[in-house]
Order: sequence, then structure tokens, then C-alpha cells
Amino acid sequence: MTAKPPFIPPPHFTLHPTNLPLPPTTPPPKMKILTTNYLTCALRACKSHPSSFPLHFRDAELQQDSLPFNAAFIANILPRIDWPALLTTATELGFTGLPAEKPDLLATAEMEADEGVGRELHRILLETQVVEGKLVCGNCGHEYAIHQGIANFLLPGHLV
Amino acid sequence: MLPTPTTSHLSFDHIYEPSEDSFLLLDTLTLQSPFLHTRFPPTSPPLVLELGSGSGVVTSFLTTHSATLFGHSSITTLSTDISPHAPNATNQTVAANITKESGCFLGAIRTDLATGLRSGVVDMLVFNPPYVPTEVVEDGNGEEGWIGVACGGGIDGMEVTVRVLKGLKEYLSERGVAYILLCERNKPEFVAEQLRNGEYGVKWIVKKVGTSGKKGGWEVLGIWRVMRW
Repeated sequence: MTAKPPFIPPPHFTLHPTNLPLPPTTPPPKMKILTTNYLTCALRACKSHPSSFPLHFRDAELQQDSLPFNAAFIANILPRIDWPALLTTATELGFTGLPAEKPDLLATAEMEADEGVGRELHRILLETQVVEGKLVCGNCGHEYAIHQGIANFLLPGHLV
Repeated sequence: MLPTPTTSHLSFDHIYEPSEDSFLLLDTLTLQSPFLHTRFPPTSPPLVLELGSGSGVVTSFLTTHSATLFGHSSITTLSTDISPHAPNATNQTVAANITKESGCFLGAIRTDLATGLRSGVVDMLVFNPPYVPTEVVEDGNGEEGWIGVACGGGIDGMEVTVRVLKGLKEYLSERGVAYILLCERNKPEFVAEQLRNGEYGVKWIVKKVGTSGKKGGWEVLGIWRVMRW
């Protein structure tokens, strides 16, 4: 009986560099504040109730990053934003630099200026992430936990 | 074709590993880019929602390649998944692939489909459902754990998808578009006809925009685009 020939891996067996486990280049992203512009209470009965939007932050732990200013993004996203809701959320989190009324579409040059609404929006919308805390419904008081930047909207069995 | 996001940092014990269905979705979305350019210009950027994001390969793809797919980087993306493992996996995959030119990823949320989202805010919805016909829709406690939840769709493999189709009129904005994957055993032509004739509350415009082609007549996958106008 002859011994098995040594196994020579065919070319496609070569471990391609992209298949090697690599550590992520940046830490995992966490919930952005703008997310609350799109969230409401998971309870169907609350959904039509005005006080269920926006949900209110409680015990929020924020992470502040430094990112290059993106004037185009701010200008483009602005029309989409529910301003009163963002204002409420921002104020609850201690950001007091936003005007009461949604500003007009700002010229890019104007936004590039060091101070002003554009920079404040950039700080709130892009540079701030929510790491821990709770989102609370203003109608029923239900609390949705945020842990490691991930909000959990699964309801306990008796509420589904 | 645009590069597929790397998921090599993940282990696939509890997460569905990107497979033929995921890649068909990515290829189809790439081919949809002229349509997406027109529908979602930078002056009115879309909120993109992926239901059941799993590994996050699709959400990462849309976020990372926003400039090519939409013609600008002002899109915002959001993902949901019912699995306790998926939101973190999605976050990791976004982190591993994101670039300076990417769109804005708002976060991964643990929830059942779109529960907790406001009505009418989603401009683009993407869903690779649990579409394999099974006896029951699992809850994570079955033999296959959360992989079973990601794959098993109950009767005709449609039980979860039907819930999404019923919810579309609530989730989607007026200009909203949904991309949903169906396999042959989901009876896609019949489902499309139901959507068109108003059985899901709205007379949807439905078009098959991607297909994996015939494979010995078995497990043909299609991507279906659903919208109001």
C-alpha cells in the first residue's frame, strides 16, 4: 500500500488576505441623536398619541467624536428634520445652541464659519453618539434601554 | 460591481453568513443605481431602513457605497433585527467598512421588524426575509437558535414577509420604495399580483428587478421592487 500523496492545496485554497480575521478599523458606531427623529413608542396604542414623540432621553451617556465638518450633509438633511422634536431632544441632552425655528437653508460658505447653527448641527447630528441610557415614552412611561449604543424596542411579552 | 463589505471580523455561530441571497440583493441594488439617483436626489436625501440586517453586509454596502448608488453621501441608514446578536454584528461591519465618503449610519436597533419606527418615515426599505418554508416561525429557542429565526419563514416561507407587506403602507413615505427578496417557493408571482390588486391595502406598483436565474428549477431567488408610484 502506498502512502497518500501530500496534500497540495489548489490555488483557490490559499487564504486570501481579506478572509483573515482583521480587527475593525474603527470602534463600532453607536446610536446617533437623529435616530430619535424617526422613533416612537412601540406600543400601538401610544403611536397616535402626540406625547409619544419624541421619546425622552433619561440617564444618557454620550460619546463626543471629532469629525471633519460636512456642510453638504447638514444642508441636505435639514429639510428632512422634524425641528421641534430635534430641539426637544437636543435640549434634553444639554445642547442649547439651536434656534427655536428651523434655520433657512444656509449657504455653504456661511456654514463653514467656525460658529453658528451649521457647526452646532454637525456636533449634534454627526459627532455625538448615545452609548448608554433610556428612551422614555411621554404617554405610557415605558422605558427603552440603550446599551452599548444599541436601543432595544422589544416589548415584554405581556405588552405585545 | 462594487466591492462587497468585509465581514471577516464576525463569527457566524449566531449570525446568518452572507450568502447567495445577500449577494443577489447587493448586485440588484447596484443595478438600481440610476433609479435611486433620480428618486432620491441630494436635496431630498432618503432614510434607508434594512429589516433583519444580520451581519450588516447590506446596510454597510448601502452606507459605504452611497456616493455611487445614490450619487451623493447625504443618505441616512438605519437597521433593525430581532436577534440579540445582529445589531452588534451590523455595527461592527459598518465600522469595518465605513469611509469618509460614506452616508450617515444612524444606528442598529433591536426590534421586531419596524416596531418603534414612526409611520411614513422610510424612503427605502430593504428586506432579505426568512423565506425558507418551515413548520413554524422560530423564536430563537429552537435547535438552530437565531440562525433558525433568520432563515425559517413558516408556511410557504411567507409568514414574516406577509407581516412586512401588510406594514408597507405604514412604513413607507409617499415616495418610498421597498426591495424584498422572494424565493420560488414563496409563490412570488402570486404575491406580486396580490400587491398590485390592493390586497395589502394599497395598489402597489411591483416589478421584479433582480433574479438569480434558474438552477435546475430549484431555489430561484428574485428581488421585487414595491412602490406607490
